[in-house]
Amino acid sequence: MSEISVLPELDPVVHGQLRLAVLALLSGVDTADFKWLRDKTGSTDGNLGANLARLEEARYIAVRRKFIGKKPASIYRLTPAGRKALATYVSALRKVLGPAL
Amino acid sequence: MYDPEQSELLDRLKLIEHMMVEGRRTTERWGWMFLLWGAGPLLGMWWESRGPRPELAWPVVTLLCMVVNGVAVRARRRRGTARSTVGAAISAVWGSAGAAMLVLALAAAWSGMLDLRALYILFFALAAVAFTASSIILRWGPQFAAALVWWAATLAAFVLPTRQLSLVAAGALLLGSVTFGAWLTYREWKYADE
Repeated sequence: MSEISVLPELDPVVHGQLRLAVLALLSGVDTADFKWLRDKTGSTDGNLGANLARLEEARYIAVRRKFIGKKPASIYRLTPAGRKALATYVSALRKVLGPAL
Repeated sequence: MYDPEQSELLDRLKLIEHMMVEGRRTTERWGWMFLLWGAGPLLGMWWESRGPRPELAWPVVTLLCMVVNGVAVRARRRRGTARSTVGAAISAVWGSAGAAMLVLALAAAWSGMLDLRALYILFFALAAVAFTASSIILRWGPQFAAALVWWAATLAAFVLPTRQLSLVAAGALLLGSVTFGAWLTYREWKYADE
């Protein structure tokens, strides 16, 4: 059995490059707003929005929408399920890459 | 040599590490604030001793610093923010120390109980406590060194003649805040893109 055949065990929601970046960023902070995530990942509004929606759908992140002054803002945080998914993903990745690391 | 699949997975692992570091860097850009709250009081001291209308020096300089501080924080928030437990703890330490200094200054001015030595000791000690607490939370040697400057100023304020305390304050502001802030700002600028 080749190492690549283990690849499907990696969570496809976490595996997406931008989603993975968002989860890793959120793992180091309590909360972050959309602009901060966009700045740190260097992505576009549309792309980031779509990927955040996917993570929210999987319940890996939670969002709170509020107004700062008159402007709407979305504040994101990693859920316990998201933290666990990221840890599981890293662990699986290390297992797959074992000899290559 | 890695095959393309392995290479992609390795890139994912590097991405996680890089993003975790990026996330932690959020709370580290505060050099300008030490510069502002170091240079501001120095300007106030200079104005009070040599400038026109010395009675306006502290109200104007304090208000100016608060406005600049508020505008800078708002501008940064417009670019996006992240909050961490450590960041909240640091903000609480500095916010409490700043509020305590403001309340003490206003109470002293309002009541007319302007015991200079007591005020200097209180202000130095509050700065020393804030620097120390912050350095312990961040486990950060250079900030602890700045705290020692403020502790030294606190002890000096007990023993030196009152007329020399403004010099002690100027020295502590210059070393403990301006120099520390300038060094931190340079460091933040130098490592901004790394």
